[in-house]
Amino acid sequence: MSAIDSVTGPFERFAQAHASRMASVVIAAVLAFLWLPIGVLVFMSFADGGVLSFPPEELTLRWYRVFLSNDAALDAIVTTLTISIPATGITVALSTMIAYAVDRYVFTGRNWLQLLSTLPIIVPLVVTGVAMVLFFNGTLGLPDYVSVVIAHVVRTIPFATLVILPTFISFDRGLEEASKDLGADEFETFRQVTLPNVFPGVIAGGLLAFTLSFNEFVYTYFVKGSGDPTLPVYIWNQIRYNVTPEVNVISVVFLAVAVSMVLAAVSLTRVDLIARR
Amino acid sequence: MSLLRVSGLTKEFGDLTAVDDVSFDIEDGEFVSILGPSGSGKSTVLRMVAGFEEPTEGEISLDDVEIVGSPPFERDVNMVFQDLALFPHLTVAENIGYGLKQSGVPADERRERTERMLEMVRLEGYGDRAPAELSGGEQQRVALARALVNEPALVLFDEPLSSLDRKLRQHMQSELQRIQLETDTTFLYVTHDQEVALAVSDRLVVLDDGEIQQVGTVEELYEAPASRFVADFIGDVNAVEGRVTAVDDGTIGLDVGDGEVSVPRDAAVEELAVDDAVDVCIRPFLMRAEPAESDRDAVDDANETFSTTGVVRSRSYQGSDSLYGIETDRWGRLSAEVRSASFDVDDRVAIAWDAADVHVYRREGGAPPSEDGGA
Repeated sequence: MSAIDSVTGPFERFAQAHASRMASVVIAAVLAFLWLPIGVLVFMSFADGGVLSFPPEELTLRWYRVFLSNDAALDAIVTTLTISIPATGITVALSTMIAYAVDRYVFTGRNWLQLLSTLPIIVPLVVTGVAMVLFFNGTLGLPDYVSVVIAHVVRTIPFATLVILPTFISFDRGLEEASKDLGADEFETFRQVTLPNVFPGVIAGGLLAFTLSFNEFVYTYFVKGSGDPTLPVYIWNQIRYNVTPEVNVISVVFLAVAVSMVLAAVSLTRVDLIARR
Repeated sequence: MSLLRVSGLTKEFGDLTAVDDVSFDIEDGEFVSILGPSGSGKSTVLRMVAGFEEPTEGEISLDDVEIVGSPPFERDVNMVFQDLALFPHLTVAENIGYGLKQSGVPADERRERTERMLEMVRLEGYGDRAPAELSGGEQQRVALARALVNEPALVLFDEPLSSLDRKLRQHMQSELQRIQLETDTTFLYVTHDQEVALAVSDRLVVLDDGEIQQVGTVEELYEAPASRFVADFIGDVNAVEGRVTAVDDGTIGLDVGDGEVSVPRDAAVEELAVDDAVDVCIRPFLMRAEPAESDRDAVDDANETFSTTGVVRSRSYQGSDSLYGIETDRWGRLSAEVRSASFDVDDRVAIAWDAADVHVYRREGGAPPSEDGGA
């Protein structure tokens, strides 16, 4: 014990004396690892020159112009949206129904429904990817597009459900009684009280689903076959052969999509009122 | 004509009878409280009046119209909920205007009436805030304004003040009374807190185990409780076990341990017979206490006085008076409310009270008192 003490003792004293400073350093390092690469990436999207070199010699919008005139990249965005938008819609509808059912009703298989809908999170992506190729494309012979949309729904449902369910559970059913007491019938109560209060959760679930779907690579790569590439697949194809600063621009596009989605959602809901709770 | 008439109201949840054959009336403009311990069924009665629960049996009529079976949103009744249930996604003004909006009141009039309500509950200028930004007392006022703005025939309260601290609760009590007078509305208030109920109500309905124990004015209930339960529940009471030895026109003879006392006939609300086991109840503030010189000398077995000696065991200060817990020689532990600083703990005291001040109740399933007759 004393031997261990003599080794750890000084370290422990040091740790106790400088604990808060050490914590700050660790937090700063974590934040730096998270955000510095993204910052550099955004910065580099304005870099002149054909190779990825830091620091850039001159700042320019040249690669944005290249990107906007690159039909293949724009097509990839359109392809991604034609998959992500319907997939998100289906996911939000299904997740909301699952969350509502799990919250409101006691039925046989309730726990199983909850488990099965969140299980895909822990199944390795590659396994599910292969399984889907075999099942959708092979066994069922579905068209590529339908398979991909289903794959995206499968990928996003667990996350959306996990986000939406807590808003239903934390929703105070007493508010519905208060609404009816004040003269609103069942439908008006749902429209004016229930929906606005669970809406932030539903929107958040939808945003997460959309972002996941927009970025989805593994399932798409497996299931999509040789059709038009989605944006992530397009980037993958690009950096396999040649790396241009255009990739930086596309990454910034991803970032912009995600951020503007969040801002849109915040302005759509009255999160501010609820957040002050 | 009564505004609210509840008759034979019964509610069963499976095997449990939460409310058992409850009947009472409320007159227009009254402030009535339903008082009972938790689990007595008082909130269930309120929820049936509001329309959130369907009675198993019985009738509820409002303004002579039967309302059982009609949904809550069609009843001319509004409720202040226990947890207030303010809408978190709406501002204070929108919360108050919610009921008006449902009944299709145009926006201008809605704004005006909401503004008047804010004034009434003294929250001018708070209309644009979120409910969560308000203090507990302010939130109570919003909930009250929201329930009053529709000008319902009856406003229901489900213990809304129970979460407030004592000072604020007392303030809100007087605000409730002021607002009730100003709006000329009928209030039905449910609480387990006898202090609140006594302070605000014109009449009380005491409920225990789903059954009505007594209905009456505050004074009636305090001065002539119909049962030991009511006596215990409304204010403090001491009980001494006894046995009836004689019943005649004007008096009842009681054996209370080693001594006989005769009490007035009307001290008992029910018919008593010789040999009935009874509880003799007395309010602590009606007891006299003075220092005892020796062990037994102060015991005065005059026929119309209860008296004993004892030792002070505890003292709880209540301002000009204190409540002394006294271990008596004849009846076990009793409490007496007398002027503060009269005694110290461990002092020997002689206590007494008049037979005219007691209430006598037949003890439910009570065996005759044992020799030493402990309380």
